[in-house]
Amino acid sequence: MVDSSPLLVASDLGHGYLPDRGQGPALEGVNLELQRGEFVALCGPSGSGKSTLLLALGGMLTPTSGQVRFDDRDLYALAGGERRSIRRERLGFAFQSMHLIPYLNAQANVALGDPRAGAGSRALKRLVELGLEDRASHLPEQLSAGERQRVALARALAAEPQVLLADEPTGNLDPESSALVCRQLAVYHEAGGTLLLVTHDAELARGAPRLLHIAAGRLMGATPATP
Amino acid sequence: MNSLALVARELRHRWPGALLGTLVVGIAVALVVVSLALARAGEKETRLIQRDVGLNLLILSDKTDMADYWARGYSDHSFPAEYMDRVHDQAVANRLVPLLKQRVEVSGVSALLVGIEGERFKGGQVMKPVFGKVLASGQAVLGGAVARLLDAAPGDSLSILGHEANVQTCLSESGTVEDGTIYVPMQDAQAWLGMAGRINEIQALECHCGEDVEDPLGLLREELAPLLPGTIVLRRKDAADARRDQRQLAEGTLALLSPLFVLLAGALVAVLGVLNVRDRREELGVYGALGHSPLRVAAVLLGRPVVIGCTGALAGCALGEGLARQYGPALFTRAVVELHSGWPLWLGAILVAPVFALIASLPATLWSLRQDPVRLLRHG
Repeated sequence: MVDSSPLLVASDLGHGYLPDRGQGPALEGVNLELQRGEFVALCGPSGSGKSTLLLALGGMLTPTSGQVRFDDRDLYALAGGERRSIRRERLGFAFQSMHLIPYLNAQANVALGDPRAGAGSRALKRLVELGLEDRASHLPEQLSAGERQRVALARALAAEPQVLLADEPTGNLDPESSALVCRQLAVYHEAGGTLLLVTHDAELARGAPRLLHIAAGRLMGATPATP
Repeated sequence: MNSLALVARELRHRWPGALLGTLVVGIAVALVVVSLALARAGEKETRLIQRDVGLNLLILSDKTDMADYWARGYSDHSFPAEYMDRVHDQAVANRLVPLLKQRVEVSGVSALLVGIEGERFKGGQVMKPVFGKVLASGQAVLGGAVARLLDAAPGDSLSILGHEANVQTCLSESGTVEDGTIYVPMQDAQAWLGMAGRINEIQALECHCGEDVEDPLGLLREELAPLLPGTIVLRRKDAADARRDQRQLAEGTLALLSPLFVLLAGALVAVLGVLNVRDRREELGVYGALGHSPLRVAAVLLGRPVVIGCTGALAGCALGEGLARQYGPALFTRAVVELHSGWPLWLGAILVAPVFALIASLPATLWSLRQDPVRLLRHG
């Protein structure tokens, strides 16, 4: 029997000031549903709360109000271990700032995102898919920004998560690498993955059946899917 | 990849920092090792020097005419030699030397004949020969002046009170009463003087030197009187006080410096531990964001101070011991053996340094593990 309930739901989600920001609330009254297998793009100007929303949905930033439900479970009401387990096995997160471990090579960084046995060989396969086969043994400092971004995406996909939250996954990429990333995301989505992308990339956003806008921490009306 | 492999990779990647950390811990531990070794050697050296200044307790028969004693150097009144067996279980006198003294004439030379036995230590039966080896029956050791006046040399024979004695050693002149003394084994002296089982003096070292005793003589007499009835205890005040003061100074230096250096070393290790956590908050955030367990994250994070603590302690012990052995003998000639720190100190340092680093890192680590990963990532 197919489960038709939404996989990820944000209800009246709010977040106050972030520790290193001085302006208004980062999120206010955000309501959002991600259906299983859905592909949604989130756009908005800098500082509008896109990344904060993504982090809160990813179980990494406790909201000051509202709820995030993952598979009908309140993510922030779960015990730490359960929330970690969801992050580890069912949620993939690609950071805009990559956040690679500096002392691990690309392959080990990707493998770090995969809790299953045989993570190393799967990590190498993932790097190959992203055009990084000859960079697997390089440390992050030996990679270009675009390569690092692809490694970060590979790490987010490593555990074959149900949901992928990606923050500007093509932000630092040249057109060729960008195409590779777009293809990987499409493959992931076609395989049934649920995808929420924060992006400034019009091309990437156009590929999403649903496009959301956020401004000043508030989610605006959804743009209809591109024909 | 297991936690150990992650720790190893991190250390290899940031090897200059790891090396610097190891050096800091090493220097801190070396300071502790050197200070402990030097202070210990200093204290021992002081004790040896003070011992050589002379025994500072005198136990005589209470019938002794003290004016006569100071004039002639011995007491006419004796007490049982078995008194020496009664002083094992007291805590105020140590290195007890039983003596039997009498003035004698040998080939026209007046000398103080002293029957001796080895020293006895408080609390036990340990005997230590006064002249480094036991004097056998029929042997004698001559003071410098006596040897010169008798024109005697080792191997010569002497007639003492009609008994033949072979000169074992002639001491060099010391400018003390020893110059006019002939030492013979206690049993010979007792036999020759017709005083079997008797002695007329015990010399000893006062051993409550480290304590701040208001009336040391009173304490000595109170402790020893019940054990040695019919005797009186005299304390050579200047020598005893000087010895006590010097020992207190040496022990005080040890007591002050050692904790100071241990604290300093501990503070350095703790600072390194805290900096380790602070500098790696982003990394903590990544592991947290990827859903790794706090135990694994803590292992990765704390592995570094543990490894640096162990290697630093090992290097510090080696450095400290090397420095102490290299430069210590220039300061302490008699207590050189005390400059060797020994395995308990090494083991202690190797255990304590990483544990200290671990404990110092723990609060910051635990705090970090309780944070939302993103709060840590924002420090990156």
